[in-house]
Amino acid sequence: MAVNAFVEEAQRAGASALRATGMRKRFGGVEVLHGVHLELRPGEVHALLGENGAGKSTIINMLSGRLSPDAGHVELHDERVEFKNPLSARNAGISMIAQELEVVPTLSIVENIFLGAEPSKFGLIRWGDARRKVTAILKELGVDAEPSCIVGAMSVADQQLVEIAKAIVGDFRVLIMDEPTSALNLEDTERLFKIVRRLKAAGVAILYVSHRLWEVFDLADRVTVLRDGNVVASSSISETDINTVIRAMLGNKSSLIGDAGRPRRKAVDIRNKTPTLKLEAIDSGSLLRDISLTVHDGEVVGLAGVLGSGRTELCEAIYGLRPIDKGTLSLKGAPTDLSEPKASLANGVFLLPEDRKSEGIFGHLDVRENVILGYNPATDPTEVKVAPTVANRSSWRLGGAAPIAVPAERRAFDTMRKALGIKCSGPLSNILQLSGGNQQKALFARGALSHPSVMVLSEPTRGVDVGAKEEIYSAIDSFASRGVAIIVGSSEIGELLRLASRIYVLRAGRIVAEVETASTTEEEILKLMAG
Amino acid sequence: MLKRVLSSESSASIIALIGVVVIFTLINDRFLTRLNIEGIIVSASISAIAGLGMTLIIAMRALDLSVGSIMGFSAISGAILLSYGVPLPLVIVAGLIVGGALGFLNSQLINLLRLPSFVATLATLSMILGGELLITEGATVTIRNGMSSRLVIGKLFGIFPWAAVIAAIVFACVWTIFHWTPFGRHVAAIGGDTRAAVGAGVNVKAVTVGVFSLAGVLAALAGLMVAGMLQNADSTVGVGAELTAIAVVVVGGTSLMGGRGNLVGTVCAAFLLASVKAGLNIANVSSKYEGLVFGGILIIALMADGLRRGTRRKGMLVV
Amino acid sequence: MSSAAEHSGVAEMLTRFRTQIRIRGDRSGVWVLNAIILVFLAFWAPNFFNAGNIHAVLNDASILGIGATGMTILIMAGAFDLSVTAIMGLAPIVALMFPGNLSGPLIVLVSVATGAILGLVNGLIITRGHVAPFVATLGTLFAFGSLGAAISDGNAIYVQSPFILELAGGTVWGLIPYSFVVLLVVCGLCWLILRRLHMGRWIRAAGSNIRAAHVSGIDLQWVYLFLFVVSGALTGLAGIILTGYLSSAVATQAPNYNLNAIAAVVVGGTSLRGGEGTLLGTVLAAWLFSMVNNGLILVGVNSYWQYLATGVILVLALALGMIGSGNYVWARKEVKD
Repeated sequence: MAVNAFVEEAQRAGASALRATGMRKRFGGVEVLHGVHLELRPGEVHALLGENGAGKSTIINMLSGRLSPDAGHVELHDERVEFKNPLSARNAGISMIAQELEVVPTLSIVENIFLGAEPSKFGLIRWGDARRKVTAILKELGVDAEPSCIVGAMSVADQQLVEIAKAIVGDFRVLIMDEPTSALNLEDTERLFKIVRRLKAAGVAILYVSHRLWEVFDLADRVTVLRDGNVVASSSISETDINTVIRAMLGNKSSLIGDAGRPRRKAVDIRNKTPTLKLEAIDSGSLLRDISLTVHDGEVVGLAGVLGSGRTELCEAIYGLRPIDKGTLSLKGAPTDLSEPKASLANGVFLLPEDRKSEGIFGHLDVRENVILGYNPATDPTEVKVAPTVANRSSWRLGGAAPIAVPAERRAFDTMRKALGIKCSGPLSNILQLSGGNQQKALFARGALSHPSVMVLSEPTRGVDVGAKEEIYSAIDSFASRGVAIIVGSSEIGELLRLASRIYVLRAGRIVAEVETASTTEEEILKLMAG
Repeated sequence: MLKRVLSSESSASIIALIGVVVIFTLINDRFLTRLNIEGIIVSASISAIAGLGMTLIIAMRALDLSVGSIMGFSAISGAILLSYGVPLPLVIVAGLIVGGALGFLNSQLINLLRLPSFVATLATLSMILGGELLITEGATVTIRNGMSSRLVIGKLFGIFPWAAVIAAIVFACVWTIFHWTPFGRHVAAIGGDTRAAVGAGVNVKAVTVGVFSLAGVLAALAGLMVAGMLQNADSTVGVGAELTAIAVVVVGGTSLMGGRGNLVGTVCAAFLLASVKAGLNIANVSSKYEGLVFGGILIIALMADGLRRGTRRKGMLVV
Repeated sequence: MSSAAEHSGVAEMLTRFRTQIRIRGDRSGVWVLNAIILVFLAFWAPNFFNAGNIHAVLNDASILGIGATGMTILIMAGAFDLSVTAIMGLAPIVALMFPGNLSGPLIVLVSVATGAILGLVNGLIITRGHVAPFVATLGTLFAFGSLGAAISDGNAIYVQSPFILELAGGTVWGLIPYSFVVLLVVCGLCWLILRRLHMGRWIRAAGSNIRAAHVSGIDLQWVYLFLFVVSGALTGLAGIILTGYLSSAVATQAPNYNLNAIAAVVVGGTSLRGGEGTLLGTVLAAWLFSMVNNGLILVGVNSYWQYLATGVILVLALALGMIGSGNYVWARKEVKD
C-alpha cells in the first residue's frame, strides 16, 4: 500500500510521532485524568492498558479530537496541535478505530468507509475509484462482501471489520485502535495483526488499547498502564511480564492474580433433580443451532463466547425477545412457551439485559420507579403469604387499573436498596445520575422483586467499577444460595470462573463444549471460544 | 431481474399502481383515454416534485410540515408578479428563490433554536399561511398568462407533457444529488445514525440548511406549476399538501426512521395517488371517498411493508 | 447517610410537591408568554376581561384542551394521533345521525363512544397491523375525514337537543363555561391515571425507552390500545361540544385540530421525545392560543394575523424554554458527551 506522505515526513522529523503531555480532564466536577503523559513513536506499537474507568477512553478521545483537554497539550511531530473535532484530527493524520461501532447501518460498505472523505470531482463522487480501494481493503481484511453491501445486514464481526477498514483507508501517521478485536474470531484477529505489522513496518505509530493481555504481549513494543487517571507504569514489553502489568492495573485489588488461589465454585449436586430450565435442540433465528443446556435450582451456569457467538442471542431467546424456531424449552420439566418478556416474567424467568442504557434503564423515571417496575405485591412473600404462580403474577396488573400501592413499594425499594447497597441520593433521584454499577444494581433489584426462579444475566458487570463488581458477585452468590437458577453470559472468562460451576462455551451459534469450572483453565476456555 | 424489482422497496407501489390501473380500466374504459392519462401525468408530476424534496428530508429523519404553505406562498407570489407584468422567466426564478428562502428559514429555526424539525416546520406552516392571507386578503389572484399554462399542461414537441418533462429533470437532479454527491450521502448518513455521521465529520448544520432549502425550492416549483395550471392562486393552494407528500413518500417505500430514500418509489406513489383520484372520478365515485381509498392504501401498503421487512414480532411496536 | 426520616413518607411528599410546584426552566415558556400577553391585554384591550369574552375564550380553550389532553398522554408515551381532526367531525356527525330519537346526554355518549371506536381502529392498526403511529393515523386521517364527508354528504347536521346547546354554551356562575368544567374533570382523570395507576407508569416508561419497556414485560400493545381509545374518546367529546357551540356538525368543523393540539402540547412544555410531560402546561397553552386569537380580534387586528401569531408563539415558547434550561447555542457550551 503506497501509504504515506505523512510517514515519510515523520521519519524525517524525528523520533516522536505523537506526544501528549500533562493531559487533564474533568467531567462534572470530578477530575478523571490527572496529568497523563503519553508518547507514540513511528513504527512502534504502543499498548495502553487499564481497568474500566482508568481513563483510557478519555485520553484516546482527546487524542482523536472527540474531546478537548482541560489542561495539557498534544504535539504531532514536535508541533503543537489542537483538534476541535474528529475530522480535523483525521485530516492531520490521526486515525482511530472506535470501540463502539460508528457505522451507519443504512449505508453500504463503500459509503460508510468514505463518509466525510468522499473522493470527488466537480462535486460528484467518484464511486469507481472508491469501490476499487474498498475491494482491495476488504480482501486484505478477509471480508467476503461486495462494496455495495448494506452494512446493517452484516454480522457484528464484519461490521467491526468495516469500521477497521474505514480507519486504515487513506493517509495517516498515527493509528489508535480501541478494542478492535472485541467481535473478531482468531482468524480475523490474525489477519488484523498482519495488517498492523505491515503498518508498523511502514512507519505508522500505533496506539493499541485492549483488555486481552495475550494480544498485547503478542503485538506491542511498549506498554503504558493507566490506573485511576494516572500513568502508573510505562516500559518496553521486553522489560515486563503479564503479572507485573496486572498488578499495575489493579493496584491493591488483585483479584485476577492467583487465580488458582481463589476457591472455585463448587458444583451443585444435581443428580436426579429436575432441571429448573432445560433447553433441548433449540434453533433460533439465523445464528443459534441445536442448543441444549440445563440449569438447576441453586446452580450458576456460565455462557462463554465472543461477540457474535450467539451468547447474547441465546439469553434473549430464553427470555422471549427472540423467537425459538425449533426445539423445546421446559421449566421444571414442563414445556413452556416463553414467547415474549411478559410471559417469561409470569413464569418466573428474568433477564438482565446486556445493554442497560438502551434496554433496561428508563431515563425519565426516578430510581425507585425503575426498580419497582418488577414489583408485584401479590407475590411478595413478606407482604402476602401467596405463592408466586403464573396466574397471580399476571392477574394483578388489572390492565394497569390497579392503583399504585405507595407504602408497599417504598418498603420494597428500601429493602432492595439496603440489600444490594445501591448508592443514590434518595429514591426520587434521577437514575441517570447513578454510576454504572449502581444502575446495574437497580436493574438487579428490579429482577429480584419479581421473585424469579430463573435469572438470566447478560454481561452483568459491563461498565461497572471493581467495587460494585464484587458487590454484584456477592448478590449473585446469595441468590444462588436461595435456590434461584442462574445463567450468566459474559465475555470475561475470569468472571465466569468466579461465578459459575459449569460453563457452556458458544461459538458461531452452537455450543461447542460444556466444562466444569473446577477442572478447567482460562486458556482452555479461550481456545474453545476462539476455535 | 424480476425478482430484484419485486423485492425492492418500491415494489409495493409499483404493484399497487399496476393493480389500480387494471381495476379502473375494467370499471370504465374511459380510464385509458389520452385526456385522462394526461391529467394523471400532470397531477402526478406536481406531487412527485414536492414529494422528492420530502423524500430527502425524511431520509434525514426529519419532517417538513411547511411544504404546503410554501407551495401556496410561491403560487401567490408568482401570480402577483405576473399580474404586475414581470416576465415569466423572472417570475419563475423569483418564485424558486422565495421557496428556497423559506426553506432556509426552516433550517435556521432548527439549527439556531435547536427546535425539532416537526415543531419548527409546524410553526412556519402557520406563519407562512398567515403571510399568504395577509398578502391576498383572502382573495384569489388571477393569472392571464398563456405561457405559464402551457408550461404545465402543454407539451414539449407536442408529445411529452411539460409537467412530466419538468418532473423528469427534477428527478434526475435530485437523484444525482442524493446518490452522487457527498451532500446527498451525508443526508442519508445523518438519518441512518447521526452519532456515527458526526463522528465521521459530517456537518449536520450545513446539511440541514441544504436539505430544507432544497425542499423549499421544490415545493415552490410545485406551487408555481399549480398556479400555472389553474391560472389563479389563493391561500387554499397547497393546504394539506404536506401530509399528502409524506403519505406519498411513505407509500413509495421510504422509512420514517431515515437513513435511506426511495426516490423512484416516491414518483410511483405520486402516480398511484393521481391514478386513484382520476379513477374514482371516472368511475363516478364521489370525490368524498378519495380519502378513504388513499388512507386505506397507505395503511395496507405499510402493513405489507412491515411484513416484508419482518418487523412483525409479537409485542414489539414499530415507532 | 440516610436516616429513616429522610426516606419517610412526609419528607418524600414534600420533596415531590416542591419539585412539581416549581416551574421547570424548560417549561417556563408558556407561563412567561401568558403573563406577558395578559399584561398587554390589560392595557390595550381591557374589554378582554368582560365576562362574556372570557367565557368565549375559555370555551375555545377547553375544546382544544380536551383533545390536547389526550394528545399529551399519547405523546408522553412516544406516539402521535394525526386523525383527531377527522374524528372531531366524524364522531359528532355519527352521534347526531344516529337512528332513534336520542336524548341529549345519549348523543354526547354516542359521540364519545364513536371517538373511542375510531381510536380503537387506530390502536389496532398500530398494534396488530404493526404500522407506526405517525403513518397509521395519517392514513386514518384521510379515511375518517372521507367517511365524515361521505356520511354527512357535505351537509351540516343541525343540533336539536337543548342539552347539548346548553352544554356548549352554558356557564357556571355566568363566567366559567361547562366545557371548562369538563376539561378540568378530564385533566383530573388523566392526572390520576398518570400518577396513581400503574398504567401511568407504563405510559411514561414506554415514552422514555420503548425497548426497555418491552424487555421489562410491559404489555405495550395494551398500553397503546388504551391510549388511542382514550384519545379518540376525548376527541369525540370535544367534537360534540364544538358542534353544540356551532349548533351544527360539519365534517370539517375543526380544521388543523391535530396540529393545533400538538402545538398546544409542545408549547405547554411536554417533550416530543416522550417519557415526561405536563397536563397543566397543555391547558395553559390551549388558553394561550385562544387568548391570543381573541386578543388579536379585540385589538382590531386583521384575523389573518392569527396564523402568524400561532407560529410565532410556538417558536417563542420553545425558545424561552431553551433559555430556561440553559441550553442555548449562542452561549458556548461543550455539549459533547
